[in-house]
Amino acid sequence: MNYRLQLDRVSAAYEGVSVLKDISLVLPDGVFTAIMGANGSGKSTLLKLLGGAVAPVAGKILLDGKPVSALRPRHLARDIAMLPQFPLAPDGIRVAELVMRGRFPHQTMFRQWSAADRTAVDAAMAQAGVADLAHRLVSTLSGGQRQRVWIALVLAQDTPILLLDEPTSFLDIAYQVELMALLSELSERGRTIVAVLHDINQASRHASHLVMLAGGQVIAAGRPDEVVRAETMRAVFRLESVIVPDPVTFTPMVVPSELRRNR
Amino acid sequence: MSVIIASPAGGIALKTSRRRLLAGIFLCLAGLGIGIWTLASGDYPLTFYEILDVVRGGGDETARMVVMEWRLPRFLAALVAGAMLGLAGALFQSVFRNPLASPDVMGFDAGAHFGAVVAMLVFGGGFFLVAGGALSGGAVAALAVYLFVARGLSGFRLIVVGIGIGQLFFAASQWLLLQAGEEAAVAVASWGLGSLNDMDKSRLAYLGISAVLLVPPGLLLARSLRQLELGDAIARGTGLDPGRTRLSAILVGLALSALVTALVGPIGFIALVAPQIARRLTADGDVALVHAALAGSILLGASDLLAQKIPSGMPLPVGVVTLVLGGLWFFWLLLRSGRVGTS
Ligand SMILES: Nc1ncnc2c1ncn2[C@@H]1O[C@H](COP(=O)(O)OP(=O)(O)O)[C@@H](O)[C@H]1O
Ligand SMILES: [Mg+2]
Repeated sequence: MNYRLQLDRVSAAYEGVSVLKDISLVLPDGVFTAIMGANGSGKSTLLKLLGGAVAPVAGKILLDGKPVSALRPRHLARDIAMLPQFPLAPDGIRVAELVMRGRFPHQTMFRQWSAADRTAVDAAMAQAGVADLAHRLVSTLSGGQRQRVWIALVLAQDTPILLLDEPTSFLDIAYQVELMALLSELSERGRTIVAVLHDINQASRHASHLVMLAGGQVIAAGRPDEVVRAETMRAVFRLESVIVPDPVTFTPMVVPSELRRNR
Repeated sequence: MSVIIASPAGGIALKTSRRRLLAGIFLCLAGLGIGIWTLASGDYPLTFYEILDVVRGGGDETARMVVMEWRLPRFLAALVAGAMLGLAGALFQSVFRNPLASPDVMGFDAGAHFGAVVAMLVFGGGFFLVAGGALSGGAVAALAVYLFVARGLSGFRLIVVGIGIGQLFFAASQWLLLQAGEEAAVAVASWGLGSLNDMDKSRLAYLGISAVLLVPPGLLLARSLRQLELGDAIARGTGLDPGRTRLSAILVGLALSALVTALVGPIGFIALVAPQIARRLTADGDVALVHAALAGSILLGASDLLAQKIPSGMPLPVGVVTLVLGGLWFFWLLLRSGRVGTS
């Protein structure tokens, strides 16, 4: 199994409060990895570490064996694209213009447009299902439409590695399924996808590598059938559950049975 | 409708839009109109053709003197200072993502004014001392505001803090002026209102050099600021260093407005309104630095024309006119939308 991106004994903290402790993890190339865990367990922090947006207090985040902190932001941005949880859209901007801004790392001061930019933007809008919205004002879109525009922006960035923080939020169930299918298709075509997801059943259907966070550590990591187990659900979410095969894909499916309060 | 401006080999390719080009042309034409009006009108009226003659190197001696010695330097000073202020405002408004964040509203100009007053009264003046004083004063005011930003203050409350800091500096300047001898105080006071009345060629030259040094780096920040407006996370994720962009824009913006303060005096309203007009004209969610500079030129040119037209006992400083216009603009903004308080 090849990998370019790796965490090596990484710890993270905000103002001295520890969030992640001594995590070592490999993100396999061309694989769709889903990061899961309870609210506040450090999923976004893990993604920010990978994207170089947060510096670790200990350990190293390595891309091709080199610390991401040592890479120039522009070079990093040609390898890793990151969709944050709460991006900002300027007033008055239209969809195609916003998606075009994903091309920033491929442009220079004097070459702010190329045919390749145009092609990448069109392809990204088509993949994210926003081609019809190209000329709409972003401020007039629904939450789900807007979310797909942001996904188009990071797709337009055209990087081998894609980090997505809760990309399915705001999407209706049909678009959720569509996005998950798109992500697994992208990974089959060789892109490395790392996404924070909440829906475990969706994740085990579409992702082939699951990472469960709890207590600042990786509680379980591996194939869905290795990770999605009643013990894991108990440890991570304090949730009693029965695991059954998904009737359509036969991947493990969590059926909650009883919630232990006082978590 | 986007428009690509490219060199044949593709080494240079810039993207703009028809609307942006038209807005730019409109602003240039408006500036030209105000320029002709400024050169033609006054105690010694000239026709368009007389001005044309002078500009071509002909015309009679009086006309030459009136245009080349008096009116043109003054008008050029208004254009240059206005562009510098408009650009400064656009840089700050973009960095703070707030249409009220301009160096006059945020107290940076008051800081620069205080620094310049200290340089004049305590050290005796001279361009480099006054400019240095204004730059330091502006930087101190900006640092004071920054301490609040670092503690998480933003939006409207940050603006209020900026206004407060500006008032403190204003009071300090007034106190210094009261301590100074009457003669010095009067000399400083007329500059202290922001005036183009005694603009001469040497001050115009200093203004021109400042603009040549600062305007191009300011305009070149457009690409980075455009990206920064998507939030730090997307900006960094697409390869920008948000901290560096923010620092560069603030330093260039401070220098632009402090040098105008040093050379012309504090002039409110231009840095606040020019970028807002520019964004309204371009209306595409993108930064509009060139348009803001053009709008600044026109606003200051028009304000100075108005200052010359309003009958008054003594020549009216343009800073007084812009203050009044700024007040009216604020009223209009407050009446028009409730958004001011929440941005
Ligand atoms: N910028 C920040 N400053 C201080 N604490 C933070 C910051 N970001 C996140 N945290 C804290 O770190 C913990 C993990 O946050 P996060 O990674 O966002 O969790 P998740 O994405 O799993 O919900 C939470 O307790 C959160 O309150
Ligand atoms: Mg999160």
